[in-house]
Amino acid sequence: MDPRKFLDELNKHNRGIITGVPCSMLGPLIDIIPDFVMATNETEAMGIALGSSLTGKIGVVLMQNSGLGNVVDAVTSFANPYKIPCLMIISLRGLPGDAKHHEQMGRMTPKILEELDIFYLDVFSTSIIPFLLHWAFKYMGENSLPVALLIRDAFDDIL
Amino acid sequence: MTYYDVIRTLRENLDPSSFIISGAGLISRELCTYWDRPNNLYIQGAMGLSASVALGIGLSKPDVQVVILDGDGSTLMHLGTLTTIGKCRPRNIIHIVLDNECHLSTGGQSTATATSSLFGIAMMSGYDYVALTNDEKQLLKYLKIAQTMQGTSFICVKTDKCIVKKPPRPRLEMTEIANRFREALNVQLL
Repeated sequence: MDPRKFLDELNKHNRGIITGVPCSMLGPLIDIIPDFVMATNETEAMGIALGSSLTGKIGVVLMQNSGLGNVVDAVTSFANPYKIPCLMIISLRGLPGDAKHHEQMGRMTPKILEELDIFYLDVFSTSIIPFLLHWAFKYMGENSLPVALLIRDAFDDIL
Repeated sequence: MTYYDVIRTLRENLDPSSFIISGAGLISRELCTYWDRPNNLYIQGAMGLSASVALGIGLSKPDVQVVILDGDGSTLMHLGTLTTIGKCRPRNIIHIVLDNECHLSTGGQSTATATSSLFGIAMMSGYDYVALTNDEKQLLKYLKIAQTMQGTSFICVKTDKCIVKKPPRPRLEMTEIANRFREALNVQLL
């Protein structure tokens, strides 16, 4: 997917801090975000993003699904009960052909998001990005809860 | 010095317009009991999250004073956040750790801060100003320095391993805590 197109579309919305932990699928996107805040783990990234959302600008977390376990407490004990939104952009590792250590989390990812009451949409291609981001920000505006985009196609290196 | 003495010092000396993000356990309950106000965000669960939430607020609102009030157990849980704060160095964060060297909320089980130094870790993490004290007058002095300097400061306060009077949980709804905090920040509900 085209990272420039994704960032341009994201910038059309009420977004705040973009933070997270890198994944090779997301690397080209992170590389073109000048004010990206590198977090030491996904819990911290959620905290930073939720803090941003509290100031009125929705925080964005970039992460790999292997880090999903690290966000559970931040979601169940803070984001959901306090009703604070954030946009989670999660690369989906563990698809057929990927490394073995990604396999189980790849299978579990949708179930974990469902159990966490996090609505999610799959992102397959560049052309669908504007629609999905529109939907995601609309959902967060109406429900004040986190929402996730599952990235199934890596961002292309453009630098 | 007890945690209550620290909260009283904050109540008497912090700018009324400052925002406090307090951590899990007794600390949020104590703050809510002794000095409740809309500018306080009590993160009663999510142990270790308050510093990163405060960083997100501080970076997004550079003109407001953001105070983190956390325990040694919570701070140890996410030590990496100290390095992220030290890297970002927003000019408006005062990070206060009440260090009683134990998990007081759950019965006083010891943490590692008797043998390691949060002061030292903060010092090497890139904060602009770092202080350590177990004395109320010194705390007041350090707090004044932190308030007047434009930078990221860390004050480790060694406190007694005693519960002054176990306060109740905040009776506020969690959504109410978040909403009035947003209002205090002048933020429209998203």
